[in-house]
Amino acid sequence: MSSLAVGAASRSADAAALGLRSPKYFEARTATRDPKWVKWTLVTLGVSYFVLFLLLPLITVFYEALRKGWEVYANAIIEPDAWSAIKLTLIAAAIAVPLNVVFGLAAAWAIAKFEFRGKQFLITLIDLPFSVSPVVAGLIYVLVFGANGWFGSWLRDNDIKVIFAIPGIILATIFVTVPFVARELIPLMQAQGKEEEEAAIVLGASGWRVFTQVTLPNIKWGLIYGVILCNARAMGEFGAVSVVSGHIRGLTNTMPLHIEILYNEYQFAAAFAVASLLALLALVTLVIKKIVEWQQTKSIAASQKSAL
Amino acid sequence: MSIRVENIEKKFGQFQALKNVSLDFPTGELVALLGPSGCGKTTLLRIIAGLENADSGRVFLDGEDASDTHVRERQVGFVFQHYALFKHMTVFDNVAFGLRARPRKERPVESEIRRKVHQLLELVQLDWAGDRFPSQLSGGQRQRIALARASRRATCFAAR
Repeated sequence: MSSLAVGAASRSADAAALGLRSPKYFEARTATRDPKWVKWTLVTLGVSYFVLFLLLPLITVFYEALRKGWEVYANAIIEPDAWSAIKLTLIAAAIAVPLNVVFGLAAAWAIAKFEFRGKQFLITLIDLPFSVSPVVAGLIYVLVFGANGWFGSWLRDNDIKVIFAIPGIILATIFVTVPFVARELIPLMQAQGKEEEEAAIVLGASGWRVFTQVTLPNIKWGLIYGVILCNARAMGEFGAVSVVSGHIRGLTNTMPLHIEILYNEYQFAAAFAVASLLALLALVTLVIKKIVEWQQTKSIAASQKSAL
Repeated sequence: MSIRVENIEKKFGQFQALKNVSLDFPTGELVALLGPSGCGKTTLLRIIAGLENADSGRVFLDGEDASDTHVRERQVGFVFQHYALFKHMTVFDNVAFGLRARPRKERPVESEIRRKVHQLLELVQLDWAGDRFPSQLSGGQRQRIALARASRRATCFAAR
């Protein structure tokens, strides 16, 4: 799903740089021009839908969070349990994201540049976290690492805690974020093919040099985009983490779980305060994403423009 | 530098791409391979460059058997069908890539690289385009850059 979005984004960036296939190009020609009423009906429909279902709830979060004033807001966030939830969320993201970058690169490389048996299976497997409900993902880890699970007694004997502890939360986060980087890179690397790498090898470059100076610069934007999406999901994940966490306050609560607890205890102001912080993190992520796209378009446009 | 191929055989699955091909390209000669699409011209060039392995047969570069030499060490200049220029590098960096990729002790100093690259760019009459990116050049200009990049240490050529 996200790969589609990126594909579209980078394609439109290319197209815009070329001045072709951009909306302006379509509207300027009578052959592809739609009647005015079609245009404005679609625009109104699209905008009102998103205002109603996306923008309004977002504004509500911030409004509710600040309704009882800044003091309540600040107290809800610096409160130790909330603070530990924020820290845990950041730790989980900081571990899951780099791991997924390495795995995503390796998987995309293998799929795009090699032929091997089971390639289709690997592609399908990467998509599994998108199709499986996060709750099921969490339950799988409970079955494997839980007290009555496969490794339960071994883990207990060796005094290792996975479920209802931080490792379980990190594992669950990794599970749900696996596809993001790989899914971004696979179509990109497949489209680019092997020619530039071959050229570099013919010129005498070592494998490492080919990777750092030819492959990596070519997939840079896709990789950054994948990391951003992966990070957003890692911080926001609720279902899978909820199953393995055990909701121990100050220990195994992440931000989304902490919000739920506060809400269930009727501490609405506090719940919305932490929620607004989580929403803010998401908004920052979106802004970074937008800047990345903008940079990408600019670099393509710049290289096209000075050609003339 | 002379190129000689002996009894080259290559199959892609069931498809026989090359069957008992033996050819001799003497030093300094300009040779063109002509033939219908899919007759194996590119496959032969890729085998000479070392990008593809022949099922059987030998490749001799300058009289020496290079069949088991890795692409990196063969020092064959190769111009790709679509040039395969590095999109994110300037024309200058493209041409300098081969020189900079050499092992540290064989690598010329930066001023020497600069001199050689300019020499090659002058040769293809594109010395003014060193700071440009491949996307800013016309098709023919890109081809000349690909030629300059391939010839930076080339002892022999295989353009396709």
